[in-house]
Amino acid sequence: MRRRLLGSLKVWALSALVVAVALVPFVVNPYYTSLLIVIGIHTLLTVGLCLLMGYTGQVSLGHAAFYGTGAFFSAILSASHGVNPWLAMFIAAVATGGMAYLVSFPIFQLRGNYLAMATLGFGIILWVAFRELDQFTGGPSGLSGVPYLSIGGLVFNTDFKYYYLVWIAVLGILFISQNIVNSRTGRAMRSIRSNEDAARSVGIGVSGFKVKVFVLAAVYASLAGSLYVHYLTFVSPQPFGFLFSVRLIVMAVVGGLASIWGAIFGTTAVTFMSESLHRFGELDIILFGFLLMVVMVFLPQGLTRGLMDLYERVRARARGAGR
Amino acid sequence: MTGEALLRVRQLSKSFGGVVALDGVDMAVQSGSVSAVIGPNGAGKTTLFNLVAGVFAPTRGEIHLGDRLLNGLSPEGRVRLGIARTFQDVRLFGDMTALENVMTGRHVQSRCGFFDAAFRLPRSRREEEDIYLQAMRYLNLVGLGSRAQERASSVPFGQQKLLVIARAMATEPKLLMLDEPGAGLNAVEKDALRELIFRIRDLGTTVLLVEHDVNLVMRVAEWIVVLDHGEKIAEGTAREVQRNPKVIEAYLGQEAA
Repeated sequence: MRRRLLGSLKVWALSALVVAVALVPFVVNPYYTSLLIVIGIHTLLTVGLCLLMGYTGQVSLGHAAFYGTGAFFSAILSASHGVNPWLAMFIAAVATGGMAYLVSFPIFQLRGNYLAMATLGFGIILWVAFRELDQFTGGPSGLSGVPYLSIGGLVFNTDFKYYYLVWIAVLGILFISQNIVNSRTGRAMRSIRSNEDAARSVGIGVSGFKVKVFVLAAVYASLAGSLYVHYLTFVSPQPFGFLFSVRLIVMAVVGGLASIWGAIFGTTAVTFMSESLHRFGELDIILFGFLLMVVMVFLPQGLTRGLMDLYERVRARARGAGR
Repeated sequence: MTGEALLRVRQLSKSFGGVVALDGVDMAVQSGSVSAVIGPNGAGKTTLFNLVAGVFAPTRGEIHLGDRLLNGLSPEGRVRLGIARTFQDVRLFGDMTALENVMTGRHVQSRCGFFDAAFRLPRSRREEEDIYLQAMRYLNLVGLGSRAQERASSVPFGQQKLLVIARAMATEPKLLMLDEPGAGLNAVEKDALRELIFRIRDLGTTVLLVEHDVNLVMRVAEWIVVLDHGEKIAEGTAREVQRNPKVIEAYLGQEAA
């Protein structure tokens, strides 16, 4: 019963989502279009975290570092060296994935809190590097003159056009990720989160899977970083710090860690909340902390799944009362 | 005992710090048999099990599966070679369904990776179909087909113990190692377990169990190895072992005392 409801809900929600995504820029005012572009880019990051944390059970407190690495590789190659932006984006993804691969070996010697500390340290090291390597990154003042992306004669130089580019990428990545979690690979990931020894006992190469998911999440982050710099045509180290890593985790948790499509929801909810609290300064950090606590305590499956469960419980009770 | 040894253990020893858990144990498990390791608490049964499964490395000694030396091989590598195990404390993937648990058991018998899955390539869909059918077959083997869609953690305990056996069997092992399969089961469930072990043997899988319940072991195992204080003190058929004065002293005598 519940399975069927979820199944039909999923198809319905998916179609609705695609239609909504396609129509939104015609309806809303330009401010929201630009906000939705940022939400799309952040969703790419959140989906990676869902795969890593929600499905495989490995914490990363340094995810912003991969976002930044992708961003800087794209910006430096295309702005300072005249490399074609698409090629730069590809190189950035390979480089970021390669870096994730290398750091994953020492990092995944650790588990739980220690893993969290190691990823935190890694994130901070890269953030310092972004600021201090100023002959490449432009230091704290950043790097401008990043070109727009273009396909043939179509230049993605307006919010309207860029919105579609970003959201096609987001829907593509969500589709790919959903397929992965519903496969042999996805089951292996979930078994690792559930019990590593038991996963080994059925022949699942635990460390290999952790590394692969970590690299995949890093590549998603790199693509997000590339899309970000070609949107702003500017990059500085400021957005890639520790606080942003934490915000990504809040987004993933709110959306429901073990829910790929929840990533959109969590990212959107947190971004809008943060926007509406902008004029109160740092208040959003306090609210996020509070939100994280409430979600973890009352809806550990995340808001999306939690609200769905709540809806079903209320409906079941209503039906029971009607009888 | 006739036939060929599937598993051979030579001079196997393991110390944890200064504590000798296993000391120079020799043992062979004949292909196609049901064998058992018994012994009082702290005899080194579980240590032996974990050494064969590759959870930790022996201090000394060799483990062979057929002609293949297993020393230095990871647990997952040993599963690929045909050794599957269950755990004393079950260790199901609690938030996955019973069926999904058994499907993870098909991991070593299937190939598709991230790329195939991401783009739903035809071979990944074919393979997934096959994984599903095989998993259902192993669920039915242990009689849990009707619970396929239930969360593993909500399946009753007695059936959870069968479910882990289905998960291990789904890897198509040559050697199935059962760690205290009877622990926590009532008499009826133990009878069903015994039937299942015989069925598994008849499918051609060699079974090695570690078990506390001497009664169950005597009725199911053709060959029994008795450990005490990390050393092998006896081996033989149920009848031989039961008559062995050393066993009576170490094992049964302990209960009488």
